[in-house]
Amino acid sequence: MTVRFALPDVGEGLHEAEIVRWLVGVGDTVVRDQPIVEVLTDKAQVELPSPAAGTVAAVTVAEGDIVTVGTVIVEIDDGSAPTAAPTAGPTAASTAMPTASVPIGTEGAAPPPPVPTIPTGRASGTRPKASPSTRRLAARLGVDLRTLPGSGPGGRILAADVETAARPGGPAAPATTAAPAAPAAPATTTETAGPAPVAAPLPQAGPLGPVPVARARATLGQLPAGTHPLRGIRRLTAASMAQTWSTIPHITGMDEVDATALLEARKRLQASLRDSGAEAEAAALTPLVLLAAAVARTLRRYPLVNAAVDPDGTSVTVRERVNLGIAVATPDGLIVPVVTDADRRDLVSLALEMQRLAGAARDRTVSAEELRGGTFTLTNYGALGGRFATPLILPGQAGIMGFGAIKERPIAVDGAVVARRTLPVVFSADHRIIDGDLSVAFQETVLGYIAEPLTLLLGA
Amino acid sequence: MDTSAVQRGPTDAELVGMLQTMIAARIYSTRCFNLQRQGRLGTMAPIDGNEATVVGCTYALQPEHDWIFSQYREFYALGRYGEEVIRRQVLYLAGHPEGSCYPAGVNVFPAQISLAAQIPHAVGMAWGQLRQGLPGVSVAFFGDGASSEGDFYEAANFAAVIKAPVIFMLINNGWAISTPTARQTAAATFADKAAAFGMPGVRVDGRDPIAVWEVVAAARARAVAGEGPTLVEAVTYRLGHHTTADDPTRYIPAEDMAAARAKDPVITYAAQLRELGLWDDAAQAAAEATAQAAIDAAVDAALATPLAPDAFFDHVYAETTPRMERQRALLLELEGKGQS
Repeated sequence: MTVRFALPDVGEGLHEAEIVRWLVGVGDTVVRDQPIVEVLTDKAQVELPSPAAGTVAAVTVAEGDIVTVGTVIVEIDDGSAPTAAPTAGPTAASTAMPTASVPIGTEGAAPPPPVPTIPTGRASGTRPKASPSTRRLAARLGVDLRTLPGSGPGGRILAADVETAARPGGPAAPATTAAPAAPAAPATTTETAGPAPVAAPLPQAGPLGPVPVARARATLGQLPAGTHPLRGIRRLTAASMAQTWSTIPHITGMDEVDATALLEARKRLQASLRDSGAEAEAAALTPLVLLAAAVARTLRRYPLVNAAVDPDGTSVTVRERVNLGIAVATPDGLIVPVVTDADRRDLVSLALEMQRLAGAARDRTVSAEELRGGTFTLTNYGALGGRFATPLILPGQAGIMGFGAIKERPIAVDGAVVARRTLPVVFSADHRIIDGDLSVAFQETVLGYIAEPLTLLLGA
Repeated sequence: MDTSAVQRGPTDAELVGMLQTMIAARIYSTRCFNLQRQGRLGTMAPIDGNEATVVGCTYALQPEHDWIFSQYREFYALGRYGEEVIRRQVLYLAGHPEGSCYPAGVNVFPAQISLAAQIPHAVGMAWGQLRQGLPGVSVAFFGDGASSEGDFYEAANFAAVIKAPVIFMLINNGWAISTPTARQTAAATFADKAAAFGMPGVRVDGRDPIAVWEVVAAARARAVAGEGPTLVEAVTYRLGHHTTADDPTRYIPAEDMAAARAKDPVITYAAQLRELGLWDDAAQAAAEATAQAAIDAAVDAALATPLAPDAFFDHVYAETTPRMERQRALLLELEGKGQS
């Protein structure tokens, strides 16, 4: 019969583990309690012993996979008739246990120790040396440790080595190579504390600012047929998006606004900055900065949008500060750094902070602290060229606003159809606390600032 | 070697019995470790390195009179108290409250997880033995780490004052989880602490079961004679994990572990008995086979015992309270919904 071996909780309250190395392959003969696989948990790297003697019939997860406790990882044919229960029950009949027998005490020489306790005799050359936290970091950043030289004692790979490698041009950059980074902040939705994005943008200059070219278009969506594990940021993204999709009832409003005045205002502000020699500040002043200022002021006017329904769904917490998450595309996916107190900054401060955070997100120097505490998120999906979208709210927030591509479009002005550069604006809200009236009021307030940027001077 | 000491101490049959029990301890513990790694038993603490201390101690006791108060690690090596101990231990690891219920005649208290909490229990039992004029002693097993707990100081002080027939078996295996002895105490030895209580403190090689036997036999004689408790510091080395939830390679230097493994008590004691002509390959094979069969039987029985998650309510009070009955009902309801 086939004994299916499910990943056990080898710690205390463990949920998942990474498959580090298979010590056996399909067709190999194993004895009971023979180590068959090394797994890495939050706490330690451990060897798992075979639950039965027999032949390895199938290995169902690959090295590098992160597996949930309870997932079948290997099937062992124990050679018995298929009438017995197909569980990993004890096989008392199999007495062969060479690797786990007690040391035969002869001359005091140390024979192979019993299987479990401290793993000894491990072929150290086959596995890169790194701590579990470094391995986790590498998995998150998509860095293959086997390709890295370690700078620590005895060639140990340090977190710094992984971070260096994860940077574009690093010694072993991730498979998804970064194109030259351009300054700005574009993209779609995502998460709060950790990396956890939605979809990566295409390489195009967006109308609101240059788009960092995260992935060459030709590389998008390329995967051979078959099942592939979700790793790193993609895995976190999947979990985050599934959570928000299944817990927050979204409503999304869509509208469009004449962006002429906004673009003109930006141009004049830039010219003014350049006149006073503030070249860097002028460059940082993208249209998205003005949009962020408009949203921040609007959040101040409608506190219930700057809020979140609490996890048990019975209360809402209104945030004191307005901290805007700005989705930034990176080679590995989206990261959402947070501009704190966006409502209290002047335009130059806002511009410089958005530029700094976008750069930090792209070159991986952004700190965990800078990814936390967002109360509302902006997504510049229009950098990809789209018009309308239905962005997903990040867990712990109540709304997300997205901006489509600015383009010349026909609109009616004073009874005549004219060509104007318009900006599509979409707003997804948590319908548990935000009804259509508030949703529309919020969106129209933002549109008002865009149509008449001078009113930003009035504050909220 | 000087065999005169051995001849004054345990008989040849006891010398062999000690080795058989040590081998069984290693096999029992290893099997339970592997079963934990296969998801079939809960967290456990391997015995590796402590066998000689526990076995040497228990062979100097009289199981029909003397009580064992152990922490979580020693049960695999309590073979001197009968095979029922390992059967109960596997039941315990499999989640059955019955694993903590030793039948009458097996003078073993259930595993104590709270550090040092078994030490006052041992003193309390010894006090009772004293007051009732019973012939036995009580033995508390605890570690170098547990010796920093207040329970140890209070219990040891009280025991010395009332001259309770108790033996404090402090197993100094070098590590309290990841804390080395150098960071555990500023005292030169743990045995030195006995002076503060006014009791004898003896330091013994915990890897030598014969030495431990002699020290404990003397301590027992003292206790039974009404002279009070003894603190025994048995020095050994933990040859692996603190528990299955721990990774010792992150704090025990590899060279230290290699040096300790070269003095593995199960191996060195077997070599010693071979020199004495008391042990050979056939004896080794037989001991391993016997232990393997015993643990397999214990495991089969434990895993075949149906789990009743609400059983633990039965063992808190003699009569369950209404509040606990409500909790039990809630648990069963959740279990019925597959949410337990």
